[in-house]
Amino acid sequence: MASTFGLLNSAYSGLAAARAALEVTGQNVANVNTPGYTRQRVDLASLPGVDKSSLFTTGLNIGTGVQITGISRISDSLIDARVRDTASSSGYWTAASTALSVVENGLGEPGDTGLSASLTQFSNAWQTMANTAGNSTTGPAAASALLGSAQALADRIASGYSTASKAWSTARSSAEASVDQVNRTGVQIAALNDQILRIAATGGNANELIDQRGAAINALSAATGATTRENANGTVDVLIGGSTFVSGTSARTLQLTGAAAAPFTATGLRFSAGAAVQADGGSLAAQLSTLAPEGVYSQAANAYSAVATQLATDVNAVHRQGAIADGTTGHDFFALDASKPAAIGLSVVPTSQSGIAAGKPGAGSGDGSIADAISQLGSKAGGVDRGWAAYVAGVGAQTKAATTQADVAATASSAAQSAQTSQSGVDLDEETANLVVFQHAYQGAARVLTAIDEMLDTLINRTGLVGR
Amino acid sequence: MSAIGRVTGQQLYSSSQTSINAARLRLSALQEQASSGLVINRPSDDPTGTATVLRLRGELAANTQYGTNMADGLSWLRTADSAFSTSTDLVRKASDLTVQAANAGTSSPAAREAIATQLVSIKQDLLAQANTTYLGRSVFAGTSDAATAFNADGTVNSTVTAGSGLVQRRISATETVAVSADGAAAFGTVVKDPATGAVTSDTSVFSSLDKVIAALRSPDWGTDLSATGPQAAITGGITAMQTARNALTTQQAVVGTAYARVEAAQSRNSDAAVQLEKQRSGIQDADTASVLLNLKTQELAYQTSLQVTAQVLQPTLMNFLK
Repeated sequence: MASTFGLLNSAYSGLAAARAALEVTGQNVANVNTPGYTRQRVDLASLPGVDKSSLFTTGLNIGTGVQITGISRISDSLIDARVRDTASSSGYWTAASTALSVVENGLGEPGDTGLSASLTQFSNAWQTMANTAGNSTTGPAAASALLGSAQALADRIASGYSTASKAWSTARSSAEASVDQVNRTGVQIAALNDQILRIAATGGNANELIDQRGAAINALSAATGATTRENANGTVDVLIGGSTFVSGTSARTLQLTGAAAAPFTATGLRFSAGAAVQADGGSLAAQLSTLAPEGVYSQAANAYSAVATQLATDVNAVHRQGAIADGTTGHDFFALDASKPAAIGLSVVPTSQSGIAAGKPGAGSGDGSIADAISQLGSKAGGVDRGWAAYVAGVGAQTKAATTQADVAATASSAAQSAQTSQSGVDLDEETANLVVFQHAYQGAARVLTAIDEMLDTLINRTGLVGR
Repeated sequence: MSAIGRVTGQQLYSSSQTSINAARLRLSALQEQASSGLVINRPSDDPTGTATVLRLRGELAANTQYGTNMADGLSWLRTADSAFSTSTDLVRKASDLTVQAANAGTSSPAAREAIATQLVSIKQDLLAQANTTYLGRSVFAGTSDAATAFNADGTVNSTVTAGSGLVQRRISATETVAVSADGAAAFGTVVKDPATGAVTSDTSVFSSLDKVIAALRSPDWGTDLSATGPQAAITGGITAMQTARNALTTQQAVVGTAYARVEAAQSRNSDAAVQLEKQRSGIQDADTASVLLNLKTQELAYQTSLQVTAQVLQPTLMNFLK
């Protein structure tokens, strides 16, 4: 049987447990909107009665109160893994569709600012040239209109190319920033691992640090598709593309490979002193794939260059057959600068009507058959217009697919997050109810204490006073 | 939603936020359609539709250009046609005068000279018709840039004969139409041997007129009745005038056929423009009524979600514990 004063201790343990529970509830309420916070709960266990102190001790053995066994985080590692996985996929597709949207909006199609409008204007200008061939009044005007539209076309192609090249550079520096961010997060995770390890060694409670680490790992997964491996000592290793990025309390550093100054060069990822890494998901993987030589930016640039090359080849082939003002043939209309990409190097050769070959040699200056033939080049099967339209439709289809994928991935990600919030998020109603419950528990324990106090008072102060 | 059915305030908040965002996104997409009037604002809105729209826009622009080409072509043909009509009248008049010269009124040299003078002026008028220009270019000179198709002696300008074809105008992606007339076929030519300068063939209406005029002014009139004499030349002239008229009528018919062809193409072209625009509009343009209706519906959905969110997210148990 417990001692007379043992009861006081039981009551006190109840008070302490209720207070601890109220404190944890307070912590939960305080962190109701803290990102990554996992709700906590006080784990209580009843204390068994004191072991029989001697062989002859008799009577009931009543428990001696309550003890706090720990403060647990209510999380589900399966859901956490799903959140990371979906965040990585959502990060990838969002970045991919953003890159495609940039390219797509830069095209200005279908509309009056697109390349196809410039191509049509160019063709029509040749038609007008054919109509006014040999006409001294309207001919020069048509020729300058043609040269103007040819220059505008070359400018449009060059500006399209440089838009793609600028977009590549922007994406390159944004990938650089992403890698910096990833490195910082890696250092942060390693530091948190270290703190958690030390707190765990002293038997402390590292719940808040674990939450912070979880949020950091989520960010890392969204960026690189990182996966984790839990260690027995409470630390977590982070792997990117199967290679260890954070190992316990140390983190490695990633960096980009490839020349930043030269657009469309292959860009990869590797450890600062070590092998190449392939990010297998996340926004960084998408950014790297758009930067690749077969990525969207370089596809766009190649499409403009292909238009420039084909335009120069097709138009020149016909133009060479025609005679310019001095009767000679074999003159080019477009020139390509071999030292530059075709889209930038395209220029118009004639500077005035005298350099334009509108007609066949010997047919008289009124002949516009060459101009007419050039005007029909673009819209022919295999012509520039058709090729360009196919590219535009291709970009549209890619963008649409990526946007749909991004939507699906975002829905999956938000469903996983919702499941996580449902599991680990703080619910104010519940906390309020807990507050009431633990308040009452505290009051109850205090009442027990008062009852014992009164009982002892009776025993000590009023015993032996009979008949006074 | 988890299987446990635990719903936290944050969960409610974030799902409301997601729904409001989605509603807003739909609203902005519809607003873009309403303000631009287009369902395809960028290729990804409808990739296949975009390819079609690009092709249709190209065809529409080409169609407009063909319209301009045809209007220009019709002006050429009209000019040639009116020149032919006037020329036919002139040749008929010359023919009448030649017949008159062959029959009566040729007794006196003065009467013959009167006819000859008239024929000279007819020849000048005819030459002017043969050198008719449209916007500074001779309509019978083909693709040559010669200012005049015919020289004063009725020979075709040497730059014209150098192998130039007829002036062509494109009326569709596959067709071109000749809008200038073959002057040599209409008015005839005098072909000279380049080496000797001797006439090798002569079908020119101008040289026929010259021969008649020369015969009328010939001092041998009434005396030389041989096959090479003036009277025989007049008889030959009558036949030549007839041949010239036939040649002119034939060429006028060619021009007329081309004119009819361009006119038909013009009406086809405007039909095609309507059709192409209709197709493009059907794919690219927004149906205003349905866009507005959708916009209203989405607006309602958006406002409702805002209202509901505002109402639902406020209370917690704390509001009711006293």
